[in-house]
Amino acid sequence: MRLMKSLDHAWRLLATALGFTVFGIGGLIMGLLIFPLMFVFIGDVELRKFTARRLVGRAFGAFWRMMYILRILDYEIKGRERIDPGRCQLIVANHPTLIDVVLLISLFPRANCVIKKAVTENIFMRSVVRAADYISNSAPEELLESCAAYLEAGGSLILFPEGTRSQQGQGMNFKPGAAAAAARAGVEVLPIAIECKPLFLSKELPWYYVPDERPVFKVSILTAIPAVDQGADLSTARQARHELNSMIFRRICDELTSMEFSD
Amino acid sequence: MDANLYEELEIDSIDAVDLLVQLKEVTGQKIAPETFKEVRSIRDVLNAIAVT
Repeated sequence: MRLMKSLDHAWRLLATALGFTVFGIGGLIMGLLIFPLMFVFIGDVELRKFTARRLVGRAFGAFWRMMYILRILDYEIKGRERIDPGRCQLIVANHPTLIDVVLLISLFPRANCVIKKAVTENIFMRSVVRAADYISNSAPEELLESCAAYLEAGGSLILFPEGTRSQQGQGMNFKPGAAAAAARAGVEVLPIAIECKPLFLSKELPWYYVPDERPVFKVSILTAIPAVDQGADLSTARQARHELNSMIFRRICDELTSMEFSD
Repeated sequence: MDANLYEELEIDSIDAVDLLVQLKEVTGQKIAPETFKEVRSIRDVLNAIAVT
């Protein structure tokens, strides 16, 4: 039994290293080969962007399946029926691990996504970010504007309102920008709760830390929160986004709590 | 006057940007975002307007 356990642990460590390698090489192949080819053969900018996102969505989906098949992780997704690519919505989730975004982009391949500046500059990822035209969080003054404008134009957007991966031991905290963008654009919000137990690839842990038990991701897509009307003046707008922010926060917290109890 | 905007008056980063826009509309003066980042109290807001 002990032997099996340590073999399983060693395998998951090896497979995790393999996963990172595949991810990096995949990013390079896309950046050096596939996107340049698309640039040559697809003249229309919008079509190129759309194709790039679809490809990234497929690739991320395949990557997630690979991690599952290699037994790096287990996962379950609740509320898949609530995914509707035709809707224009702000998709918000808590952010326990490095790979949450991989799953979310594979579930919502058409959506844009706010990406951390460091990733947009990462050699393996930057061409992917550029081809899919994801939004970088590099200019905080303009970020709200560009998110709201994107949503107003009818697109969907994935955003992690914590601004970075969750800090263990500190209460979860949502920055006001996500709710502000949805309120300003007048679009609905689709909250998603993500739990990873035992914790893996979190902010505090190095990538090679592999827990004794296989991590299980529980992802719950909740019912959408209808668009709010933020009114004409600043004070009603302020109140509207505060209420929206606390509602999103509460929904995700409640779901995480009920996941906790269902274990 | 010395009330802290962010802690006592619960102004968040979005409010700060709105405030900046409003001040510009009301006073006709443009306050640099860099200056505004230093602002902590109502007195600081007044000083920022007075300087520009």
